[in-house]
Amino acid sequence: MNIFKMEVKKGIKSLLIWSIVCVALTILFMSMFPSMKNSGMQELVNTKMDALPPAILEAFNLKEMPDFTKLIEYFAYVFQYIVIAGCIYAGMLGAKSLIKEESEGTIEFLYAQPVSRTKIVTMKVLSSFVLFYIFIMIMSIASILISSIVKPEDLELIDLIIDLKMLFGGFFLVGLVFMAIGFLLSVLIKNLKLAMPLSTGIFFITYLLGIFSNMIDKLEFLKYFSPFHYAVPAELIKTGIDKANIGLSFVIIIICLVSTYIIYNKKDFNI
Amino acid sequence: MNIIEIKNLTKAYGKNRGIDNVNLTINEGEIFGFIGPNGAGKSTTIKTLLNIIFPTRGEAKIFGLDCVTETTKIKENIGYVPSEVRYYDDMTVREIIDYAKSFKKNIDEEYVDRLIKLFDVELSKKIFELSLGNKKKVSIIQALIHKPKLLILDEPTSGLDPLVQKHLFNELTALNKQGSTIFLSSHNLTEIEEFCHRVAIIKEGKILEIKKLDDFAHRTLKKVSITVNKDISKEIKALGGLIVGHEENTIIFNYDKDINELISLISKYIVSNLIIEERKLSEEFMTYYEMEEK
Repeated sequence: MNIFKMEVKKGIKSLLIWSIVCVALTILFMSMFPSMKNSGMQELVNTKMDALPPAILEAFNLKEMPDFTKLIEYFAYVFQYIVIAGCIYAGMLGAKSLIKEESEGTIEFLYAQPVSRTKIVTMKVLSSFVLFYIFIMIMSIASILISSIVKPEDLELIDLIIDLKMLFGGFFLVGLVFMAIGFLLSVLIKNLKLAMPLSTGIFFITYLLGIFSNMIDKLEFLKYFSPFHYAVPAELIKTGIDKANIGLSFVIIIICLVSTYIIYNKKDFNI
Repeated sequence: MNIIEIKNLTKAYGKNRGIDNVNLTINEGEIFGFIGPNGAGKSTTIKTLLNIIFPTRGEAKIFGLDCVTETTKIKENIGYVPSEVRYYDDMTVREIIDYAKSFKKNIDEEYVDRLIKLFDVELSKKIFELSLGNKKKVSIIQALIHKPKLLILDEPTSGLDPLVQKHLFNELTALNKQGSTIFLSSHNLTEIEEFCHRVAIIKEGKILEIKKLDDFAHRTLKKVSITVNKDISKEIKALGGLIVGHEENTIIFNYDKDINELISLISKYIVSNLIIEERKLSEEFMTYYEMEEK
């Protein structure tokens, strides 16, 4: 548990920064909701949106125009940008975790202690999981509080919480997929400097693949290569999460983690 | 009992040299020196022993346990000081020592406090605030806290002032008397000479020699420089002298055979200059390298 505690302690600062930024973004987005609801903004938005080509609407997950006067639909739409940020955070947590010790040479101290390589990976995975879980909880609580402030009187808080629960469940799952990919990346790369650009790059490349799959029918199969599109918030509140996507997420997580353990147990530490 | 047993250990880094067919046996209670120039393979050998890197061929055992498959068990009784100390920069010295303690069993807190006082480290300082020497002191403390059965020290005195070096060797001597084995890799030949029982010399990944330091201390090895009116290098070689330099009429050679035979030889010629010096380990060490280059 000593490694786990140390890892959580080391990750707190970054967790706080990501949480503060994402909570601030949520507050900013949600503070616009009352004006969206009250001033005929929806009509204006619809008019503008109708003028855009369908492909562009698909790209921004506006295939079915959300009703921005409904709190949860509005929230689901703006929430996708929080999910993007959260997935990048999760990917970086994974990608930095193992290579950081090597690049900074601290693995020479850690691995001189009576601790196995498997245990090092397990503690890093668990601590990253816990940090991301805390991030999700902070975001959930903040979102509930902000939404309850701007919610219409006729909307029951409990209904809001149920919908948010589904959104955050999808967010957590997709984040874990990117975190697991990050772990695999962390045992493959030779330098910490590559962790951030590569994990972020992987997110955006897969995200673009998902967009292409929406825009071009022939490329629909590409959606399976975009974990972000396994749980798009706007779709989650309408159709719920697809069980096939849950299965696919778990398959990716398991393959990445098993590969991480195997490679880490066989690699020379580069110090 | 053998504490370290290395058999045909080879580590190849692609085209780069690592170590090649290294064989070493270090006995319980021994203080074993490991010397060689930069890039000779000292750190590669140590990293293989600690499973930081995997061997390409051969095997290494510590306490009779395999260094690859049983490394966790081995490390319960090992203390390690790396040549370049790198810790988590934003942690304090106290946090590093506590973190190291958390991996060990049966820590003697009084002993830890004594080490902290002896090496005079400031517990509240952050690692990034420490000089190279102070980082080394923290590394020495964390390696000693559990009084390990085996200490692996890679350049432990680099960056340390002479007083701290003295404290370190006093502490190592005390631990050695209590049964700890010490594997000391160093460039400082004087400390190897004064402190170690045996020494291995490694160059270009290969062990050149393993010597008892008693051999160095008691052997009557001389470095001779003679200027004589005739080339007598063949005669010197015939007596067992090892020529290390030859310029015009001056011959420089190492000699550890009967000195009377040498005097008898040179008495036959006209000698214009003769210098006979005792050789130190450092010179002996250099000789191995000069021999290899020739």
